[in-house]
Amino acid sequence: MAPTDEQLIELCKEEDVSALDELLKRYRNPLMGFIYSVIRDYHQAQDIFQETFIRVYREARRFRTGAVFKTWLYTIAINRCRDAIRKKKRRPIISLDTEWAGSDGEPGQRIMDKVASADPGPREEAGCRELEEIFQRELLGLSDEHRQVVILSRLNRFKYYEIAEILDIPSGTVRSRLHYALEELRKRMRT
Amino acid sequence: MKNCDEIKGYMLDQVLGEVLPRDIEVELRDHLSLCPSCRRQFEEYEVAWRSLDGLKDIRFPESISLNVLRQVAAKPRVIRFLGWSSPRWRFLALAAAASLLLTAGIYILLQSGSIVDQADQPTSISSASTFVPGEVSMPDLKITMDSYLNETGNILYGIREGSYSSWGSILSEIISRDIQGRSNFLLESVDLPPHSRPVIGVLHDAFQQILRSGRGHEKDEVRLPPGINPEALLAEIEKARCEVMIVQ
Repeated sequence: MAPTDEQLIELCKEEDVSALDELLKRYRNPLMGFIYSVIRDYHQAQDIFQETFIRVYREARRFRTGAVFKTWLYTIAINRCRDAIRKKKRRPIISLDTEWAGSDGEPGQRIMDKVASADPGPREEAGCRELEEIFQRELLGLSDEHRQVVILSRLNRFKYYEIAEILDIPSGTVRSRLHYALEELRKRMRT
Repeated sequence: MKNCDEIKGYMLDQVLGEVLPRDIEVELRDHLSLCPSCRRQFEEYEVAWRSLDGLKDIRFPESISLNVLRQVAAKPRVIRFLGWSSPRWRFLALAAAASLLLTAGIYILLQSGSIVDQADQPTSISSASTFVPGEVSMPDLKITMDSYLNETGNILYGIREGSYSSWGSILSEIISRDIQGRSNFLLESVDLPPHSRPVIGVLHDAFQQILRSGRGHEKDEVRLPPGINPEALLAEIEKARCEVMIVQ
């Protein structure tokens, strides 16, 4: 019988990297999907996913025995997403680039060129496009807040109370958002 | 017996996978068996919800997971740093991280400003730790600009793209790397372009912001230890800043 998430995180407390590997396998697609639905930036979503799991591993000892791992994981991820959104609004780093601009007419471009790992290859770019297409096709017309609850419910199979805990909103709000989203999807299918 | 409007909410709940109380479930089933309009609606909801099945086909590259594994395998846990009981150790590590972050910013400046002014700029970096020798064991690395960039590429790219959620997360990342002893360095023998000053100021302000808040921006991650005098830490950051300015 496969170990539960909670058993795996207990192993992570003992620095068992294979347990982390298993958790990554389980959550790579659904969690990335969720982060992407919030951030809508493929590269930033990757960063947040990685930061989230690194934190999970390093702070595994903070995980309370008896708690639900999945909710903890998604709460960390959504907090990272919120930080990133706030950061973008509050202090866009790009303005620093403007100050750093050299006289070559292409501010910061050389860093981009130099950092090979940051340069998305054609395959990755195709992946971004495909992802965006799926989101556009499946969730067209839904607002950010409706899209998030749909992803958590459909892709991640969370219950109302779990979504409420992750997003820090009342269960009733989760329920009404999901009902609205489902009604919209139904209307879309009828047209 | 509930009417159609009252039953609709439960209908949606069931399609969405919620577990209904037994009596409600029975009532819903009975209602659907008697009401063709609601039954049709229920089926439409199910079809609409199933239409999102494509979301489950989304696949992300395994490299995302591998990056995580690589990083955790390469680095000790941050908690080891946070868990040190001696405030002095944490003070030293924070101060070193401050100078590293300053240096990272300066390096970006050098890159962006060097095309015209400094075509022959030296590309080697010599290690010069701000740690007190003997107190923290750090390898004295000699690394080239390129190897450093490869090592810290994601940080620099992240800073540039605004990918990091906070200064705290950048700081945390740099501290983690520094604990490895990989990015333990200061720039030497390079001229700073004039427009570096404002950026040094920005970075400095970021640290002040962290200090003013009394803890790191990231809760529980980069925390100013209780025993540390913020003024002393500021002075250390100032010192690092001065070292950089002297080079100029």
